[in-house]
Amino acid sequence: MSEAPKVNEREPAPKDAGARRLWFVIPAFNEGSRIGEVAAAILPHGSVVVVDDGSSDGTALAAHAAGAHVLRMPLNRGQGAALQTGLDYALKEGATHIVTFDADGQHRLEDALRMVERLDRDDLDIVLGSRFLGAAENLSAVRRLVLKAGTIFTNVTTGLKLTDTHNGLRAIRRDAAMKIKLTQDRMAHASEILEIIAEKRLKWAEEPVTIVYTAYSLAKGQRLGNAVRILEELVWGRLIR
Amino acid sequence: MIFQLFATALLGGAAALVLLRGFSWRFLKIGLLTILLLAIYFIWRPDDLTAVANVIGIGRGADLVGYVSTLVLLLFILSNMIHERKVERQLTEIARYLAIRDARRPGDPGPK
Repeated sequence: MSEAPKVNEREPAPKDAGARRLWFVIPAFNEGSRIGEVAAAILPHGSVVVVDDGSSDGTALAAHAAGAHVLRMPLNRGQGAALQTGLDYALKEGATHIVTFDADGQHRLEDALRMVERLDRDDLDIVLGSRFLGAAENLSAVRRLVLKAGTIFTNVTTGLKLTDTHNGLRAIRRDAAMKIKLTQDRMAHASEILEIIAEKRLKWAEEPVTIVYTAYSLAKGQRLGNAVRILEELVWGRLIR
Repeated sequence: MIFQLFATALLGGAAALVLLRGFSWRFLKIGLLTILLLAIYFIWRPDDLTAVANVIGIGRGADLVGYVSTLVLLLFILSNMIHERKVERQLTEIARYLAIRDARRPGDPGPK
């Protein structure tokens, strides 16, 4: 337990601006080997809630030992479900700013903190990370192509003009986060967030970020066939409300 | 004759089940009973079914059965999918509720 519980954490968000309460929401499924390190690196900069999506490898234990708040989904309900759970919790705990962050270490903390600064500086509701404005290390040609195709598809369906629609790194202000109610429990939630941005007319911007594709994150991360599944989930999600 | 008897016994048994078992939804109960009784009738009088088929522009009674079965099956699958999605969402709601209720804060006893 590297961090003692903060006394005032149960109070709602303070009215006075300036008192920023930054929360990192990290959905994690079987990330026991990396999550501790990822959470520990973030903790000096804000509170961390790790949502363990029914892992079987000690993800919750590792995250808690590192000093994070830990929520355990009693059943594996998918990344979208875990993300929404973490958002609900962070809001309940009084977060004024929320960052959604991947558990596998492919996001860089300095990018996240820059995005949070930009929320306030440019008076935005949400800042989205873009690996195509920034740098994607070790990104294969095929992966790049599939991501580009996904971007074009999502831009057409949402009417937004983004360069990277499936990036898990986002910074969101409290009032905007309260408008996010994800119903896509599995992978299509990234597109759903963009639909919500378009629908609720949230003020958004993209920030160049670097995604570090390591052997670990590539092995753990989205397989390319998932693009087809995301499409399928989106179609069903629209047909059946 | 053998098939007719066999099918009648089966459908009659199903009708008895529908009548006896507590199908809470009366509309569904009446609908199922009607279908089963019609099926028994048309098994014995297939020419009558062909007459019905002819009225709506289908050549044979057997074809009518084929088309109607396919449509009913599709509707059934669709309603099941809608139902499943609803159940999935409720499941997520429960999982979310439990996860937040049982949150481990830093300094709490660690999760098992």
